[in-house]
Amino acid sequence: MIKLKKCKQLNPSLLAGLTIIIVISVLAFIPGAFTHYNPTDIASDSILKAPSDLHLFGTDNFGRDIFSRVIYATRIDVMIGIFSVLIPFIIGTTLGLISGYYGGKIDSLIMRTVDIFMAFPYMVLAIAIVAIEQAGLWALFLSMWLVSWKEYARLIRSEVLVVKNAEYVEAAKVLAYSDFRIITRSILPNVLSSAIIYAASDVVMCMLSGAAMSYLGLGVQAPTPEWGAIISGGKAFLSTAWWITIFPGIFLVVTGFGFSLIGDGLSDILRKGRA
Amino acid sequence: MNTAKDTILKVDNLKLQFSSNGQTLNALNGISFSIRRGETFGFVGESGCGKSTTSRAILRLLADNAKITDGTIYYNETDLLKLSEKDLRKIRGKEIGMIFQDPMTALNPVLTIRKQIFEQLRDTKLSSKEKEIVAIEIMNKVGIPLPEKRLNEYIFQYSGGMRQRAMIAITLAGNPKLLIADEPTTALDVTIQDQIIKLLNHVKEDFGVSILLITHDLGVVGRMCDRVAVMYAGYIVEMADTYTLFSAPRHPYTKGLMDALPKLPQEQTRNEEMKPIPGALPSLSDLPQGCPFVSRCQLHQTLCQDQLPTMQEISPGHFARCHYFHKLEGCTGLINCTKG
Amino acid sequence: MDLLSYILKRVLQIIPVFIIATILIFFLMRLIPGDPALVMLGEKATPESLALLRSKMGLDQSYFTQFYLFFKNLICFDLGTSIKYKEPVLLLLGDKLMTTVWLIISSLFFSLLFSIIPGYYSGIHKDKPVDYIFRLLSLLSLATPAFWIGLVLLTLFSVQVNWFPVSGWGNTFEEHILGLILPGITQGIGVAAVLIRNLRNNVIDVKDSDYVNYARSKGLSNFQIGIHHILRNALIPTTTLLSMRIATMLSGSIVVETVFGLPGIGALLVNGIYARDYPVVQGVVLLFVLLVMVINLATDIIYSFLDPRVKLS
Ligand SMILES: Nc1ncnc2c1ncn2[C@@H]1O[C@H](COP(=O)(O)OP(=O)(O)OP(=O)(O)O)[C@@H](O)[C@H]1O
Ligand SMILES: [Mg+2]
Repeated sequence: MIKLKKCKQLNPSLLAGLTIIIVISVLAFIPGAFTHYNPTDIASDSILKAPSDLHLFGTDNFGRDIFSRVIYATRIDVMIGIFSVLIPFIIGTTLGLISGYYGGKIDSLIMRTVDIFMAFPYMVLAIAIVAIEQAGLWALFLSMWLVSWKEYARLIRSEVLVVKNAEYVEAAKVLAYSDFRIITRSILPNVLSSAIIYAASDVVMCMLSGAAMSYLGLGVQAPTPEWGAIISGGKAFLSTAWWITIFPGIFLVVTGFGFSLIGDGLSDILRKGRA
Repeated sequence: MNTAKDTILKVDNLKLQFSSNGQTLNALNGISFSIRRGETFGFVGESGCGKSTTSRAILRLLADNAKITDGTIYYNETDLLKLSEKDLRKIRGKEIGMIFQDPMTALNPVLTIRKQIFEQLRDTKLSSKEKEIVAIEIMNKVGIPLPEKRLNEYIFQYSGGMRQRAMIAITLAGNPKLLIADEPTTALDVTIQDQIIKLLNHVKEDFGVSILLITHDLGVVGRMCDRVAVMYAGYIVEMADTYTLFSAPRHPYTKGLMDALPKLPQEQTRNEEMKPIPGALPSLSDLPQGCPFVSRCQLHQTLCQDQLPTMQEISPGHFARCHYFHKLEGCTGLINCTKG
Repeated sequence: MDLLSYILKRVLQIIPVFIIATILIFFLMRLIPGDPALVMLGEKATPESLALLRSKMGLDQSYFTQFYLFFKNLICFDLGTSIKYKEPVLLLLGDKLMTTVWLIISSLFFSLLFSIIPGYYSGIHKDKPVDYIFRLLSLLSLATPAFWIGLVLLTLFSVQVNWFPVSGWGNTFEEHILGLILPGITQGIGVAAVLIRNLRNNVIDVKDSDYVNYARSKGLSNFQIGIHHILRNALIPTTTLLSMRIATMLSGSIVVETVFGLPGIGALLVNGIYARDYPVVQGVVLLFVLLVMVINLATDIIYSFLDPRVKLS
């Protein structure tokens, strides 16, 4: 009975999103099961071949199999999306909790820092970071972390300000619980939902930004397969070999769509849970 | 008896249902009443009994989940329920105008009062200069000082008392013959309430309109209405001219409303907020088969549980929906209370 | 008067943030590996000429002195000279800024074009099929990278049918317009997705409000109610969101300008990074920061015009 009820409540967006992401994850974990081509193998005898039985998505100007490159790229792109969000989520949430709970000097210090970071457009700061470090995966992560944390700090802080004066927090204070206990047990569970909703859309944004950076040549470097980088490699052949740009783009869209659906479903559920 | 010519609005056996979450709410269960030309007709009853729903059904300004299942609503000779949406729009505003409870939410916050008055004059052939003159005249009539200046302001810039006047001015600009006022004084504080009641009484004479007044407040009824209907759970349970109703209530619910009022004569004229009668409205999705008031009624007998009483004419023009109305004979209601 | 003193107040608030941002940028640039003098003169430079250039650029001074010089020049609008173009950075920026501004105007246009009607109908017909379709479409376009849409549009409309230039925006006004259509659409699609969701929610909030019901009771037509009472009010928060999005569009223009070969400041930044032309990078980043601040200020002012209830303070 209970199970049936839960099934009925399962949000369709969430379900569809999860399905997509599970399929994508399978690709990410065992790319070798889907293709016998090595994504970086150069083959001078099959350059710029159109999609066929032999090469499902065709080949690029080095004769590399696009299908296998796209499949092997899944892991790295999904990783960029998730890890670009995970670290800022933790850092931003911690700072937001501290800022909102303690207020005063530490609050203004954190919020002024947020203000300064807000003044930098998203990609601009990321590009500047990449310029300092050698372009590559680590520089990419570093730049994503630097630009993403502020949103979480702001979101969490504003929620904490609301929750801080709630009865159950007051009660915990009366019981003389430690700040750490009050923050983690009484406040955190009640302020997390908006940050989680935001994180789901942030994963999409970070994955797309990461791909965009790689497209610009400032992220993941050739010959490592990454969707943005593959697309970048195809831009010179728009008229002759459309398949190089089209297929990795479709994978980006589908993966992003999956995460977006999850975010949409989550926000439905969490909002209803609140009301 | 009054002829059809005297009657501006005649509602007959109006039934309306809301569907919400798979349930059917019987919000109106056969409402019949008529309003005569030039009169103020009052609707009283506790929250949720269907007063607003009735008033909105008249102009078909209902939520998407509402459905009128039966009845007729005649405005003069036309059945409003049969009109197309387009023809109904010619009635709205120009024949029947509405005044809402809270001007702060009922007027568009980001349009000037001028713009909102001009909307009412959209189908006249007036130039914008002439419209301006009309607007200023109306603002003067409802007692808004400095109308030339105030026309250009937004509702939030008006003070409490002026806000309701502004809405009345906007509604009157459409030149309606019937005014539906849904709790026009509830949101106001006492002194302003007083001014607005006087204004509405004055407007009735000045513009020659009839008024359908919805209120919680028996004091307002006493000061404004010629006749009153008392509503309960989507039924009209009693209807009479104001004096008769106040002096000789014949439905135990009406009686209960009056008993709940403060009894001191000096308090009596003002602030006659109803104090709820013990018990609660029955659920509209599951109305009892007999009298809807049965669970809260002191007179109730088995008959009341089995059979819905009909509306009976007790004396000319005085109707009550109660099997045992005669048990209240000799009860002298509010008039007695205040005098004795 | 009121507006003027408000702007003054806000500008005064902006200044410290801008100064700190400047310091941050300055030190970020010093962290870039490699010797700028070496980059400027190339591998074959003699040690003497390198040393000469270093002292000319102030690179042999302490960081503090360097920053002092940098800031002094900044106040005199001197952002240094581009290593790659051998031109004053300020002139370069002035040259390229207009392209970016026009790109953003085009993006704004298309984002509104793509969002007002879908957002309105989605909200009016909440939970009906239209609503689901538009919601799915907006989720989908949120997941679509701008550079890829740009390439797809280029393939379809510039390579296949030759309607639009493959790269750049020509020299005449007509060529400019033509060259801005695809970039505007590219950027507009992503922004529209955000706007549709926002407008839809606002329409839902507004459509059953008392004032819309009151407007109905006045006998206004659905069209009049839709425009003057529903859209007029629902668009206020959306416009605010849109103007906040302009800052995001600035970031987006980096990619879009690169894809379409538009000579704007975004492309200048990317090329600056490729060439390790750090005066240019520094100048563009500073300009971006300044623009974001100006846009935020403009947003608040626009908001107060759209909604008379809002007082600037
Ligand atoms: N859109 C709707 N969907 C479902 N039920 C509704 C809807 N509108 C009103 N109702 C219900 O219909 C009943 C009558 O409501 P109505 O607003 O007419 O009462 P009222 O007498 O005007 O009350 P009040 O004095 O509070 O204004 C109430 O029980 C209300 O909950
Ligand atoms: Mg009501």
